Amino acid sequence: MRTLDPQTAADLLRTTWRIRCFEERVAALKRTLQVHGLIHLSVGGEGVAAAVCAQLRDEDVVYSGHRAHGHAIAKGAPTERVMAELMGRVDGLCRGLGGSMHLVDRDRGFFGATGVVGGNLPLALGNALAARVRAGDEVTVVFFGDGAVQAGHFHESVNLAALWRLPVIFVCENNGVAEFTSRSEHTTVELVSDVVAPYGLQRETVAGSDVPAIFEAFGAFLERARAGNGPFLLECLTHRRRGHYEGDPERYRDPVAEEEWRRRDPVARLQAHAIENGWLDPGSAGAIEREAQAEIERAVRFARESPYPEPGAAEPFVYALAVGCPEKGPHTGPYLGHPSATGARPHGGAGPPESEVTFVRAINDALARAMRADERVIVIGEDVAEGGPYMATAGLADEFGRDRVLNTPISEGAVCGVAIGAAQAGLRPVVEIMFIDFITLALDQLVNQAAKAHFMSGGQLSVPMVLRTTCGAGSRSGAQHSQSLEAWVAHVPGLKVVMPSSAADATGLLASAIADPNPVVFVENRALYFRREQLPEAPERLQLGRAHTLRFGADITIVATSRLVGDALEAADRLAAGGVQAEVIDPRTLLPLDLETIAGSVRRTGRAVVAHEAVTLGGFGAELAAQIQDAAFDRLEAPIQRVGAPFTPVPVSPPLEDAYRPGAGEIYAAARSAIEWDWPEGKEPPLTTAGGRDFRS
Amino acid sequence: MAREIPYIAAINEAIHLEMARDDTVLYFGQNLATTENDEFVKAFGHDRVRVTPISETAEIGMAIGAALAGYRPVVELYMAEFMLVAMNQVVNEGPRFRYMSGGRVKVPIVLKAGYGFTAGWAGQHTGSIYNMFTGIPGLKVALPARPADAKGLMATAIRDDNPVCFFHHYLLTLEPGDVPEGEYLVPFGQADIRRSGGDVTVVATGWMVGKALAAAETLASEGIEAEVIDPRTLNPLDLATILTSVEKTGRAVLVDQATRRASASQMIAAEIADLGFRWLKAPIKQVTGLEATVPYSEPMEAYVLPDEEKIAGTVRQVLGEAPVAA
Ligand SMILES: Cc1ncc(C[n+]2csc(CCOP(=O)(O)OP(=O)(O)O)c2C)c(N)n1
Ligand SMILES: [Mg+2]
Repeated sequence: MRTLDPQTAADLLRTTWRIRCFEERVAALKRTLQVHGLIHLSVGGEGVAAAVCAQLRDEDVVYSGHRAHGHAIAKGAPTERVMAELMGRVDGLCRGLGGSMHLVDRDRGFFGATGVVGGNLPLALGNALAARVRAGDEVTVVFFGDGAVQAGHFHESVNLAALWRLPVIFVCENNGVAEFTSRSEHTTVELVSDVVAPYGLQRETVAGSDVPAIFEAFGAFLERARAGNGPFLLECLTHRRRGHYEGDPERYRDPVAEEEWRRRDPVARLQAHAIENGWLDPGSAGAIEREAQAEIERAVRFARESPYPEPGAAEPFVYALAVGCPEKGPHTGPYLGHPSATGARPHGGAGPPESEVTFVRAINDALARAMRADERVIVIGEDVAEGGPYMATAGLADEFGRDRVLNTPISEGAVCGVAIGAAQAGLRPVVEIMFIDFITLALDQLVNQAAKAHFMSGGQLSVPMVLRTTCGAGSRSGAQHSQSLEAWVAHVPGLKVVMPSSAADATGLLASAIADPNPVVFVENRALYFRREQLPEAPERLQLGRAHTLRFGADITIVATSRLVGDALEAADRLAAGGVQAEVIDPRTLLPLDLETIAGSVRRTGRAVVAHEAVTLGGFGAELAAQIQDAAFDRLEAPIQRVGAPFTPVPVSPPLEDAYRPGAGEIYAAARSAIEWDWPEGKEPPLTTAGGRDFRS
Repeated sequence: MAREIPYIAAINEAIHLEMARDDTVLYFGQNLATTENDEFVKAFGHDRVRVTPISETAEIGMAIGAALAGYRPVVELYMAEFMLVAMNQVVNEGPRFRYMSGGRVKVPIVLKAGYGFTAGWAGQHTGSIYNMFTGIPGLKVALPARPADAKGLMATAIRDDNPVCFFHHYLLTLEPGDVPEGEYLVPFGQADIRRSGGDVTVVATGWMVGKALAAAETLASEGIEAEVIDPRTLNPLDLATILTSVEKTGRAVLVDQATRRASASQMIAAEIADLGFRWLKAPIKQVTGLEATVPYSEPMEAYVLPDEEKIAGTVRQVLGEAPVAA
């Protein structure tokens, strides 16, 4: 076991003083509004950051929460660049994109802070999993507060880490308070180490003011984690000397307790300890403090001299670009040049040799191909090693082993977080969430972590993961297993959204999604799963962001997604019988969206129907219609018709569900009304509110 | 009698009045009632006013359970983005019970959360994600832009028999305004015409309403009269008022703090494009947040947000842009 020696003690004292001076300087800067936003300081907790991080290597990754300045500095982030970040300057760690709650210093293994309590915990598991897959001896550390222990993510993560024996060290800074509420009002379990007892973790509780004790306890865990053991939980009982955030009126303070804690100040105690042991003389201890102060003053000067970033400089960081690929992010407007309709192939692919497969089999093949080609690809999810309910992952565990095909407990939030953490560590996870209805349990991870990490870190982190999920009604599964929620994810900058309508598209798009350096949500409609299709044995990869024109026509454009593509083709046949030639376009990816092909078509035909299975109000069709009316306004000869589901949950009774699900009939009717629409006496606009029907009955 | 009070005080007043009026109204959330001095605790006691741990899923789930048992809970969630931790309760449980039980039960809960705190609160505390709730059948969404609406919509939300997401804008917190005393209700699904004008219809929500009104003043000095409409609730949405205005003006500009893709603003645009097609003299244009996570640095933050200048510029564009004949 490593105990403190004189040199280490001096180093730790230096780190704690650097953090202390930094934090107090930030408090002053905040009072004069030179740093802005939400600032949480760690005065009183410096010893934990120092004693833990001093023993880590750059390759050992640390995740932290909202109170993260000290952790970043202790892990090696230069104080001048942390300060510049807090001042929103271009030389900030994250180029001014992240700020206090989202510090990242990738080179120093500080993978970042998060502002959502508990959101960081599963990411650390993902990082540790990646270390294991690489067969490395790196250890992952995650810092969090006692407040996070009552969040679902904590229990999901501790369970999973214990189950998989991951080399993770959970470091809880238990200061007995979350914001303004004491721990006793949040839980009946006083010590966090008691909370994890049933999971069988190695655990220890130490005084947060006793730096040598933290150093020793953590060192012992670290040694064992390096040897591949884990997880561990180290609880440090600390005190938050300043408010929850700068500006907190601190009405909850007890003056007696404050005085007691002041006497137990970790920095003063460490300094006294070092002097008592004869490791330092009072003079050199004073010099350490003065040097720290001088360093922080230099940091402030550096930050002040650094310019603000160009406002427009934010945009390139929304999406990671594939190395060597000129592809532009979708936020920059219409997708890059593509051969409008010329790349169109008949539905079902071309070129021998072919075989007949189902959609779900095609997914399975695509996964297997990706795993064979790239050993960074892993598959994670509930039942995936058993093949899953639809056999989409069948056989993968046999071929690639259970280290790359990982069954998980029913913990969607943590599972998604593990994939994100693993992706940040360089793997290419494909995570399966059985029903899109269940992404509601992982939405914080997907929206607040996956989609934003690249941006908030100023481009340091990327999240090359795929979240496969299924959507759609029709199986009498009711309102919680039948939704189409793709519009949600399409709203989130940083995500990409794919909705294949055929087996050929599914294989080609899944290959691209796995290769993409960004988080991609891949939505499969279960109603398509068992349709059979001729497929080339080596299908080509399909670039994201290119629509597919399946049928050409001059009279009306039908834009349909997923299952509705087949229905659109059927409607087009019926329309043709009546002399109307419809052009049918499948965007294939909602984000990026190939507006050029879609609007180009409508500019030729003058009429449009957009069709999907989601509810019309709040569905992605509104996005398509709004973009089309803007891009083709002067050519539109009729209102854009939207086909979607009515604004109700999905009913379960067969006749009700059949009536609920839009299909070829609705598309045909919408197209006819667009064709027949006429100025000036069309149908009277119904002046009712779309969502205003009162369900109180 | 109205008197001037801040937006946040108006919200608290509504909750207070409703709790006094109806003892099935409960109020709970993180950091609520941490001292005995809390005005809600003093008035209603700890049985009705409770502090919760950081357990959004359980907080909302518990509210749904209490509502099914006959109570009317108001849950304080602080930040709309924290609801993402608990979306299963918000989407799959709360708004489904009435429907799935064939109308036998009801779930009168209010999920109160702030949003849009673009004052350096960076990527995870600034989101304007109300569209995620707008497209959920069974949920209602209120978005007050001024103190009187904040009070009246909160009171209506508490009395509504359905789950309601009540999103207040953090940058309006201390904004003062005239608020009627005593019982005051603002009906859902009734837009507010904040300014009349015949040249262009501007639809704005929340913090953007003030910016749209300011832009309208600038435009008025150039001889352009904008009609500014605040829908106040996104679901139900008062399309009638919007369409009546578009019929008069023939032009629409939508202002939304959220990023545009698949947003509530796109939803309104699609409705106008469909039902108001015959009256439109120009494409519907939008002024929205740019497609990015909200950056921390001040100049970048300002750059991605809609402002008066962008609104006025877009209105001028819509007025100058005569449709090209096909
Ligand atoms: C999911 C979620 N809910 C609520 C919050 C608001 N919040 C920010 S910090 C905090 C308290 C955290 O307490 P703890 O984990 O003990 O850390 P400490 O602040 O004491 O260091 C809360 C409730 C949040 N950021 N995320
Ligand atoms: Mg705490």
